[in-house]
Amino acid sequence: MNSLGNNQQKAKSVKIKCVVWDLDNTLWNGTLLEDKLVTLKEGISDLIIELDQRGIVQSIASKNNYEDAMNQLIEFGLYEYFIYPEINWNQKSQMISSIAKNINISTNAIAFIDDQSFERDEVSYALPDVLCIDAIHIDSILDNPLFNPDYITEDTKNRRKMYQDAIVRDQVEKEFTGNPDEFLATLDIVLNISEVMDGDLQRVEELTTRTHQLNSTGYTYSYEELKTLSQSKNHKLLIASLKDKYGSYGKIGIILVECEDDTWTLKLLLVSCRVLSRGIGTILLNYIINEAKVENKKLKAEFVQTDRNRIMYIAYRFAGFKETEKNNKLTVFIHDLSNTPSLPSYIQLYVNDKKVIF
Amino acid sequence: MLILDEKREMNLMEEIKAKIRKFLVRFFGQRELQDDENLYEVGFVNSLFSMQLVTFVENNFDFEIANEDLDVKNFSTINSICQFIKSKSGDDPEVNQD
Repeated sequence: MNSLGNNQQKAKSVKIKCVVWDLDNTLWNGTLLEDKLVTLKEGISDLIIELDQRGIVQSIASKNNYEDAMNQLIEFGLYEYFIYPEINWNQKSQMISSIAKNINISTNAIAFIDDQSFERDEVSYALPDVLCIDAIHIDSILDNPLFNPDYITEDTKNRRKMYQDAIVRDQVEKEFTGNPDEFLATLDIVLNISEVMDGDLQRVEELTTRTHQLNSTGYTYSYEELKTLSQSKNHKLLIASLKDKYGSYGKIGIILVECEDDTWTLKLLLVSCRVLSRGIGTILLNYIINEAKVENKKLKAEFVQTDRNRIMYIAYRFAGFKETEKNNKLTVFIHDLSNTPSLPSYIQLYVNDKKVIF
Repeated sequence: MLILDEKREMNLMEEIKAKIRKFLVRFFGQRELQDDENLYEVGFVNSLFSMQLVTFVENNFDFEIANEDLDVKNFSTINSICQFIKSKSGDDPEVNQD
C-alpha cells in the first residue's frame, strides 16, 4: 500500500494533470441534500489553491443536484477553481470520461477522490488508469511526487484561466452563425515568434515532453541541451505564443532548425493541442518555408511517424514537403520552395517583436 | 449497354460529390463551393481540416490513404477529391450509406 491508500502502480512519468473531486463527505462534511448544513473539510481550501498554483486543473464528479451543489461551492468561495464540473446522476466513470474528453487529456493523468469505496471501485473497473484516492488520504496528496510538477512556469499558474477563456471562446464560436473562417477573423489573433531565452527553457522542455499529436519528431532535449541550442550560432530555437481577444493561450509552439552552410534542416516542430484548430502548425511551417526562400537556403525536415502524429505528417505534406529518404522510422523531407504560401488574413504575426507579413 | 454504363458512372460521380459537399458544410458553412474551386484558397483551412478530410474519405469510401497519396493536389477541389476516390476504388467505388 502506498501513501494514497491504494495498490495502484503508476508509471513514474505520468504526472497528474487533473484532480476530480467528489463533494459529499469528501470536499465537505455532510450530504448536501440531507443535512441542513455542510462544512468544508479542514485544509481543503488551501489544498485546492495549492493544486491550482501547480497547474493541476480540478473538476467535480458528484451525484447531486446541480444548482444546490454549485451554490454551495460559490458560498465556500471555491466555484471558480473547477472546470467542466459533472454534477448529475450518472455513473462516476461516465462523469470522469466526459471530463477527460472536455479537457482533452488521457484518463491516466486524472486522479479521483471519493470517500466511498463503491464509487472508487466502479471507476477503477471502467477506467483502470485513473488514480483513485480515498478521501481519508487527502493530506498526503501534496507531498506525493505525482502531484508535484517538475517545473512551474507562468503558463503553469495560468492553466485554469486558459481553460476558462477557452470555454468562453468556444461558446462564442458555437453561437457564431457565419463561416468558420469569418469567426477566426473576429478573434484578433496575434502570433508571436521569438528566439528562446533562458526564461523560456523550462516551458520548452515542458512542451517537448507533453506534446504528442502535433509533434514532428518527438525529439526531447534536456534543459542543458536546450540552453546550448538556444545559444548556438548553427541553430534557430524559436518559441511561439498566441493570444486573441478572449485571452492568452500562452507559449504554444516550438521550432528547431539546424543551419548548415547552404541547408536548413527543420529538426522539430511542435504545437500544443490547446490551439489545435487555429492552424498554427501550418503557419509556423509556412514561416520557415518563407524564411528559407528569403535566405536562399535548401530546406529539409526530419520526421518520425508515430501512431499519433499523422495530422502533423499531413501538415508537412500539404505544405509542400516531399519524402526523399526513409531510414527505419526517420523520414527526411525536402521542400523545393517553389510555392511559398502566404500568411492567412485572420492572423497577425510578430517575429522578435517586429510585424511580419508574407 | 455503353450508354447505361456512362449514365451509371455519372450518377456515381454525382453521388460521391454530393457526399463530399455534405461533409464540407461544417467547415465552409453555407458558402456554395464550385467543383473546381481550390478549398485551400477559399478560406481558412488547416491541418485539422485536412486530417478530418482524409479520415472522411477513408471511412466513407473504404480504403486507406497511403503516405505517397497525401498530396494536397488530391484534396484541393471537390473534383480532385472525387477523381482520387475513383482512381483508388477501381471500377466499383463503394459509397457507404450513412
